[in-house]
Amino acid sequence: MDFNLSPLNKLVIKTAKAFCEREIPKIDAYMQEHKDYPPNLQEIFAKHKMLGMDVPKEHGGIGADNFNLILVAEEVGKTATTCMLPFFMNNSVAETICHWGTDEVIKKFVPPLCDGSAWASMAFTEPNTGSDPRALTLTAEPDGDDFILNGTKRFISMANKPGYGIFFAKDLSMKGKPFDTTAFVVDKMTPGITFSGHYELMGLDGADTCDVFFKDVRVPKANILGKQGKGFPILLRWIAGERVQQCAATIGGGQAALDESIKYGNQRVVGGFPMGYMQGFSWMLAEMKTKVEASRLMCYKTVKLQDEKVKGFEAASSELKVFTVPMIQEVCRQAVQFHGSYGYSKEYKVEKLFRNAMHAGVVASSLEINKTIAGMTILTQK
Amino acid sequence: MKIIVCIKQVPDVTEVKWDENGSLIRTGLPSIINPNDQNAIEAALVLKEEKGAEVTVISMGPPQVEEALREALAMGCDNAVLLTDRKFGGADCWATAYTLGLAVKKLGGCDLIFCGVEAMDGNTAQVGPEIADFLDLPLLSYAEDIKVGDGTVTIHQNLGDVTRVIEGPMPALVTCEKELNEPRIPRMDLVFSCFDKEIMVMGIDDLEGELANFGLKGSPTRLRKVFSPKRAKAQVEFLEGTPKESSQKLVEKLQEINAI
Amino acid sequence: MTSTKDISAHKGVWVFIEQFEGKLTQSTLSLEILGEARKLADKLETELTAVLLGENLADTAAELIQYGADKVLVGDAPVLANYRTELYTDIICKEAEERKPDILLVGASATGRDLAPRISFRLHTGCTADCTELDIDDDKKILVSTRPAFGGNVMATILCPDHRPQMSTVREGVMDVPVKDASRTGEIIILDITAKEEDARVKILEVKKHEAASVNIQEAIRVVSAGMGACTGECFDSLKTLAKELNAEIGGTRPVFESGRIPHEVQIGQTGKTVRPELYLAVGISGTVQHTTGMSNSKTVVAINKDPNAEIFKFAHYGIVGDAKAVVPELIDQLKAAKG
Repeated sequence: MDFNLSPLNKLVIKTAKAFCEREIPKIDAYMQEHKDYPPNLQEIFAKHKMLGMDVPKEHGGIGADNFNLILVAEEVGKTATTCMLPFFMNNSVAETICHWGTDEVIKKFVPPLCDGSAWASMAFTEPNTGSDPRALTLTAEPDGDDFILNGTKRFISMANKPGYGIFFAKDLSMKGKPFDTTAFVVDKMTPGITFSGHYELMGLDGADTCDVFFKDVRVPKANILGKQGKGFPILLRWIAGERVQQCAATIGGGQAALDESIKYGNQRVVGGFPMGYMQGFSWMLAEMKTKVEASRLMCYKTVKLQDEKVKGFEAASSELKVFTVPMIQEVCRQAVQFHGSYGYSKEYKVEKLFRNAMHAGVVASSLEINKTIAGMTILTQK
Repeated sequence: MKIIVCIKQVPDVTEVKWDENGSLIRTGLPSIINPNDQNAIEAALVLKEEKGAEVTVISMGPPQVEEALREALAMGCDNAVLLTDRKFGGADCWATAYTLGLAVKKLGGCDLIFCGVEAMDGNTAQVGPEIADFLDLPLLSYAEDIKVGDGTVTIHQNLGDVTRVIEGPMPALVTCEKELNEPRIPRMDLVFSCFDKEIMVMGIDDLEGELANFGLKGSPTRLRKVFSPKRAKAQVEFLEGTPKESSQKLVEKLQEINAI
Repeated sequence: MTSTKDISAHKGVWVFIEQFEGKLTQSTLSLEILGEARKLADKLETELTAVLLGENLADTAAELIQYGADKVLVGDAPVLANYRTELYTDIICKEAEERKPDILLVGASATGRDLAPRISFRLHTGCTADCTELDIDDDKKILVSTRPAFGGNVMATILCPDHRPQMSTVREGVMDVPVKDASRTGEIIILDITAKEEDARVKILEVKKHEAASVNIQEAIRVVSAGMGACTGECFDSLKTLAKELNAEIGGTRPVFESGRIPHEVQIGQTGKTVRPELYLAVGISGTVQHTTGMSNSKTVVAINKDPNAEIFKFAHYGIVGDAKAVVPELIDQLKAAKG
């Protein structure tokens, strides 16, 4: 078992780091002022050929494995920025379309998601359901060659940006069948679609998460992704990968929280010497580092399962979240504590890292759902 | 148009750390492409975009220099050449310029050679001009702006007190200043594809030179010793108290010694 | 090419003198090296020769004798008026091959760093760049050059034992300017310049003089120097008042320059200027090696920094541990009180 990173991995990390240093400060400044992504954000990603990383070569992408993507995710997580969410979404949605779509669907929707002209979204959540497909209230009614969509989606990222989203609806034409969730690729600027304002969140400053309202929205039948009624597995597959990327970014945040604390521990003088040398504080650093290391290694192992297409990856990605979320949230909490009053002030980075880490337990499959998935899988495995 | 860019892989000296004894810790430093050389690569890539030039990057050093060459390929360079041989080791500026110059000859020459003005570890700024003299090429140093015309290259040369606009016929060698451009970040698609490119490797047998002129043996300068910079003999006297009190004490001290 | 057998035939210390429009350049670099070279020549009990290329050089050549040169080789021709990389290299190499100097020193200005390496390559000899110290080894009678390396984090001592001339380039502000002695005599040798404009492949299309820096920080008697620790809120502005009270010039570290608060001309450190004022007030400066290289020879150093372990205190005579924001206003008040 080789624990070393390959030359390619190292160059990916170096490049991601350089991108973070070069581009992100400006973007963050914009987002702080405007509470939204800069309109040319996708073009910036496209210029650096970062879109389409996830898209297989035969469809014009780079075909990067997920391991390299989570290396990028960790670097990004260290910066505490929100601005890379559209990058990850464009990549994972494009990959999802490549996996489930017909050639026609792929040809139509993947290139714009890779050339900087379209923003991707993934829309399952509604006011009353985050994970139960039977409780979906966005309905899709057949009408000739189209479906008419009505209903509401909630907390959808990048929803109000031009481009394509995968929307999960209750397919009324599948009534009576055991599975009736159909996934539609929807042009978000279709007439009949409106949006709420942005939700202001505890962390992920500047995020554009909002509600999406469908009023008699016409979507062609040809936009169905995968098979009618069999939409839920699409979400499950996507979210299994999403969890791993989320954990990687969260681990990056944990690493940054640790680095800040080490710096502080060496600089802050209490009683004539750097306070990090006090036993209590050095113990905290030991706990924080081991939590980050363990989470990272588990993340690497999990993503390898994904790349090797091992059956049981979905459960493994749940296990990753079960472990990583409380670990890193604790690391970030300890980092705030480490900094004393300064940790509570926005002048230091750790309070932002803490707020960001808190999203991992409730966004993109809650901690509890993941415990259930993992626990039930353990129980039922022979 | 063919452009050759000479680059050096250097430890990132901005990240240097010291151990408890006050000695420099040289190991474990991340290796980077010398920042000035990145300016040189960028200048070449701009010409590639504008005029369809073919860009070859070369570097002399131990095998791990391959990492720097891959990064240059991922920035957009077309070819990479690694000059590596135990016998190149320990080379000073003269021997380094000799080796790089021979490699350029072996590659069949080019229209332009771009080098960074200086390396962040050696800080000599000598190798570029020495290669120019060796290959008998017009030298246009300290370029803050480069324009390529019909068979000529024109630069804005920053000579400190003056800036000159100078022009020379190609083939020519240009050394690039930090202010010349902002080097690009490697492109993600090239990051992945650059590992499919074969890097040409040249050793001492591939270059047609005099054995006595390579490496440590071929270096006219010799390192006698390396040491930490002298610490000031001054023993600092701390002036205690509130800002007001310490300022008062300071003014008194300075008046005593007639510093004010 | 110089072969190792001929070493003993090489004698004398040469210094390349930079000129602009016939006069010594704005900087005193060439004179500083001449002064240092005089000491080396005396130690070796040999002659000091200044090498001066340009146009209308008669007065300057005579001046160089007064500054310590025994001989001046003068290449005076219109084609040499501006620095020409090829022509200057050709002439100096030709003269060096014929006259065989033991040591050749060049200023580490942009011009010198263009010229010196070319000469050293063509003459197949060693050149040590950006030296901060030059000396003669008493036993071997060879040049010993010391220079910063590794980004300024270490010092290296370098020799050129088997090749001649031994070459070094020297940075500005490191050595002392010699005193002029009108009674000194020496020999001025006018070189026969056969070079023509056609011989130079690199043509000069335009020469733009930079606006003379309104401040020559290297001539300032007192310097108030800003680090990033003095750049919060209005602290940096208050430094201007402090400088006024002290009748000092304002300088700063590289990060402060990069933040746009000071021009490059007053940046102090390895990639900026070296200063040796009577009083150096380091405000909010941590004291990285790259900075202290540029001020460590100041007569009196006062450091203000909120970190008691800051490196700068190792270079200071007086230290105040405190936030610059709080200390500087008080210091201004105290200075005002002391005056009135």
